[in-house]
Order: sequence, then structure tokens, then C-alpha cells
Amino acid sequence: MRPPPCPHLDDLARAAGGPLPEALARHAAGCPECADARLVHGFLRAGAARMAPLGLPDAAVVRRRAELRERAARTERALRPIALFDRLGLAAGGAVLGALVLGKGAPAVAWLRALGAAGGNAAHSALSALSGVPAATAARGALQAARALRAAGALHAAGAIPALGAGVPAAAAMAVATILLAAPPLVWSLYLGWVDE
Amino acid sequence: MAAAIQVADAATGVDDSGGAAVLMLGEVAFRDFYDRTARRLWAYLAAASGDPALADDLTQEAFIRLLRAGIRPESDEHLRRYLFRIATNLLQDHRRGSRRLAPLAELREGASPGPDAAARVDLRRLLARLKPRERQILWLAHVEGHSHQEIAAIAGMRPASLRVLLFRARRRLAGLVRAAGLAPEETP
Repeated sequence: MRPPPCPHLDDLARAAGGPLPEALARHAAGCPECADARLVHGFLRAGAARMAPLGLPDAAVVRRRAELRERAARTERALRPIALFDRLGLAAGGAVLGALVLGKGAPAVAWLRALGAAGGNAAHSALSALSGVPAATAARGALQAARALRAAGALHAAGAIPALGAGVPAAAAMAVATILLAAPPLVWSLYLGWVDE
Repeated sequence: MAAAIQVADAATGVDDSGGAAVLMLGEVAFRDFYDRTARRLWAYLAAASGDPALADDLTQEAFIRLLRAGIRPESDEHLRRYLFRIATNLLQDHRRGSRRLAPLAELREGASPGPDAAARVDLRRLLARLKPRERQILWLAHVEGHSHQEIAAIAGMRPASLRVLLFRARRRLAGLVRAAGLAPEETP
């Protein structure tokens, strides 16, 4: 059951803090609701007057914080599409690489392996030559490098390594994948540099 | 309407020069509003939450959100109601997050001990016996002097529900004040 509000409560609230008109004071003395309202009003007002904040900052500090937060929010909003494109680029690059490796199968893997082996042997030979070992050892290293390169050439001749002309699709796919993987971080860093400025 | 807004702008010192959608209050206008309102908002939050330190944090946060809200205030009173609404929402979010507010009776003293310390403890002790929502609406009604419609808007309640809740909260606090011997006619 809802209690009926006393019609004088609003008058009492308006008059609170000062002396009540005689009629209102007479009513308040006999009305429990108004008596409660007067008591609570006085108690809370007195309490509020004694309350003191621990340490509120100056208005300028609060305003500065609001500005900084707004700036951070704007930057975050501006970066959102770039972050999205970054993720899309990485996903597309990964997908192209995956398709290349899985789709081409052995030729692509052999191509990568041959390249790695040739590079490794050549580096080994160069290091051997530079480290001052006897000339015979250096010559052996050079021979190994030549063998590796020849093996790569044989693979190429056998069609295992696509040449630039013959294997344009694979080379192009590799290039696309590289661009897709490298472009987003590059764009991002350029944008961050621009934002910092 | 345009004239009303112009009058309101003159009263609140709203800075229309900036084209940004945020920080509509000019520096001077904000300082003026902050100086007049921050302490009152803090008292409301401290009474409603029972935690002076939390009230410090929420007061700052409420002002920051008010600045970032980018509203064009119709009047000073409108801005104040909006601020209290933000603060009330922050308090409710905090309550949902922490699930439990610190009991007021266990709180550390907000200000240095003095002749009013006992009275402050009485206020905290009695408010601690009320529900957080009861503390909020009693404070808004009796200290801030808001109407039922305004309190309902600030607290996110229906006016009819508010009237009943306010009646019960007032009766309860009055009973507690009398039981504690703090009613003026009962104090020796």
C-alpha cells in the first residue's frame, strides 16, 4: 500500500532552513511525515556542512586531464581503421603465403631450400676465406659453394626452381605476400610519426 | 528559444567560440562551475558511497566526463543535474564492480579530528544503516533540494517509485536519529 504523501511537504521543503509560518508550524507539529522531513532535513544539512573533501584537485588540473583523455581517445579513434587494415594485411599475407606453400607444394619448398643451402654454403666459404685458414681449405669452401650453386642450377633446370620468366605466378605471389606483410607496419609507423609531429 | 540559450550561456559562461564537440565549457566558466559544485558533489558521493577517498576519485571522474560529454547546457541548474546524473551512474558502476561498498562506520576520517568529529561519525554511523539508494535520494532531496522529478531523473527511477522510496527512507532515518538521541527536541 502506498502511503499518501502529505500535501504540505513541498511547502515545508521550501521553508526549511528558516522559521516556519505559523500555520505550517502548527501542521508540522501534528503531522508525522512533516516532522520526519524536518528532522531529516536538519540532520543531513548539518552533516553536510561539516563534511570536507580530502583533496580535490584544482579546476585547471581536472580540465587538463579531460583534454588529455580526449586527445588519447581521438588518437585511438583515428588509429582504429589503420589497425584494422593492418590485421587484414597480415591475414591476407599469411593466406597468400599459405596458399603458395600448400598449393605449389614441392617446387616452392625446394626453391626455398635450395636458396637457403646455396646461401649457407656461400656464407661458410666466405667466412672460411676471411678467417685466414690455409688456401686449400678456402679453395674447398669455394668449391662447396660452387657445388651448391650448381645444385641449385640443376634444380632450376629440372623445373624445381621457377625462374623469373617461367615462374612468374609464384614469384609474383611471393612479392605480393611480402608487400602485404611489410606494408601495414610501414604505414603504421609513418602514421605514428605523423601523429607525434 | 535562441534568446533563452543566449541568456543561459551568459549565465553559465559557455564558450561557443570553439568548434569542437567536446569541452564546451570555457576555462573561466568551468572553473567557476567547478568551484561552486565540486564540494557539493563530493559530499553527495561521500554520503552515498560512504568512502571519502572514492568520492574524491568519482568527483574528478564526473567532471572529466562532463567536460568530454560536449553538451550545450541550457542553464547552470541543467549542468548541475547532468553532473549529478553522471556521478550517480559512476557510483552505480562502481557498486556493481565492487559488489560491496565499505561500511560507513569503518571508514577512515575524511578530515582532521576536531569538535565536529563526533557529529561526522554520527552522520556516517546513521547513514550506514540505510541502503545506498536511500542515502542517495535522501541527500538529493534534503541537501541538494532537488524535486521528485529531478531526483528520479538523476537516480534513474520512476517518480512514483521514488516517492514511496523517499517516504520510507525518510521515516527510517528519522527513526534512527531519534533512537540515537540526536533529534533536537530530545537532546539535553
